Amino acid sequence: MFRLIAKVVLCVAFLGAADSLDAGVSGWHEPLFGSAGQRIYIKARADDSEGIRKISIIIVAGKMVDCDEVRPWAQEVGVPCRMGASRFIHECEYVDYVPPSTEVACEYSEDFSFSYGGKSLISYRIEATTRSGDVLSDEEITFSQGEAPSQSIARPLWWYRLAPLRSRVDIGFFPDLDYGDNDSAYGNFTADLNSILAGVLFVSAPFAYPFHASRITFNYWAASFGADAEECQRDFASHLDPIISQMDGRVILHQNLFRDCASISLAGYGSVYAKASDASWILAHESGHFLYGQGDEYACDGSHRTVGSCKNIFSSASDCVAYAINWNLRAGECEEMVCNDIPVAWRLGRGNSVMRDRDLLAEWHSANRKCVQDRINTCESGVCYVRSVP
Amino acid sequence: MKTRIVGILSVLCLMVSCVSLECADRDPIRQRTSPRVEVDPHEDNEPVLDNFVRGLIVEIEVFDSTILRHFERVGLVSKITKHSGSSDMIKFEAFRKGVGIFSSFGSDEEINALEGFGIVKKKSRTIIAYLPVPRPFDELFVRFPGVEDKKSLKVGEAFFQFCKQHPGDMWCQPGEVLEF
Repeated sequence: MFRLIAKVVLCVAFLGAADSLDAGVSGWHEPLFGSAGQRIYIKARADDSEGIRKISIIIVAGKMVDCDEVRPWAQEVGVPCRMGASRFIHECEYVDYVPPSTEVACEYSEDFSFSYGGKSLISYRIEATTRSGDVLSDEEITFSQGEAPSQSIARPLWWYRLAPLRSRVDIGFFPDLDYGDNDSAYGNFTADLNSILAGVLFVSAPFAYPFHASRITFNYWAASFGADAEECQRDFASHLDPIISQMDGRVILHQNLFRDCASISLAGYGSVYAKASDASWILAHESGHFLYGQGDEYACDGSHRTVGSCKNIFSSASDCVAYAINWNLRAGECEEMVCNDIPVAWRLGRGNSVMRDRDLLAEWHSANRKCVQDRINTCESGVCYVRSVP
Repeated sequence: MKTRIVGILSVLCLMVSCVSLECADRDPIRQRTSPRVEVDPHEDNEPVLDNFVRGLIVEIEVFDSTILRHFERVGLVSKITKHSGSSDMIKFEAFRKGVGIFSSFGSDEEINALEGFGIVKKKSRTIIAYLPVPRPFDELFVRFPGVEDKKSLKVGEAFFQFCKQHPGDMWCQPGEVLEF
């Protein structure tokens, strides 16, 4: 009896601490970017107050192709299509005596590239059936394994394929010329990319807030060679144009050290030093510039500009206070930024900020958080970024 | 003392075994994988292809707000719904025989934040506009943020070349095709 009680108490405590991911049902795959010949793990977890009876991983896998093969005229759209696909379901069933609310796990693994000539596109959706028969479901996620059909097509690492591209923030990652241009160099790039994305997608550190606040708002892609960055100079080979056209954020990962640079824009360009131990933080900071139009909040040698109506930097105290009052933020958090005793600008927010402090505990607060949330809200309305008027 | 140590060790062992046993309960008692069923490729790819419509892709090489060179071609571009503009963006306006038929905004990467340095203005840059225009047009006006004058680009040649290759296309029929 004691053993049973201990089991229940200890397990609930253990599981509660082990996973702080969303309650309900969720799925993910490892690694995010899969090379040909590698075993890919599709993982699912679920919990429910009634307990979970079954998890189903619904998988569609096929050959990743140029969309021109599916529909004439659809070449150069920058993203892949799929041919020869098949659908199957992997199911896991659980014992009845697992305590309700216990998280249960299910996993399927395969080298998908083997069946599709080294170029595969895989989608999966997780469904969990509770003991009363209710079905909980997660959004379908698509990823690729192996080579792209052409250099002009991006490989998805995490793609909500059923949703219109315009309703998601698409971030494309490009290997810098400094990686080299052979298979081994690409492997080095994708290893860095896997690590950087895992650092914003699967950890709940405050600096990763935008990527967590609404995980379904973001798609992540890997491009082929052809990009070259050196500080603010960015060059892209013409074969990358179709990929660039589909992305809202274009990030060049580099392995040689130079100062990172990003456009201050609502959708734009940036670079990330991929070998830094805090490269995930760098991505978060640079995305503040190129996705949300925010400026630096460090006083000396910072870029104190913003773009668009959402601001985190102000030229005067009165501007800052007026903005705070207008948007129901705390005007008392307006703070003067001073460099070598010379006032340079005003920021809105107290404490460590992602746009100021290179610190894994730095936060998106007040004005920063508003800009991120505004963008997520815009995406939820159907179109993430302003582009055209019919 | 000895009894106490044995007691503590027993509790620890029990805890470890309890946790590991309970974790085994998290794992499935039965797993099965269904046979594979073929998926219709058109149905499968429809959500992807539905993102795109025919349009004009315009590539512009710029120095400051001066257009040095431009190149256009007809291709598939993102289908875009209603938006509003911003003063920080480049505005594109398409005209067919003097009548405005479409306008669009594009992001400019002119203003950059170089870490530990400050603002860097990129005077020389390439801007690519993807315009989901409803029909062929002959003139594109480009207006840069903060610049009053708009630049005019003659783009009809791209549609002319397209129709030479695709004479049967709906954009190349009488009434639709642009004449030179």
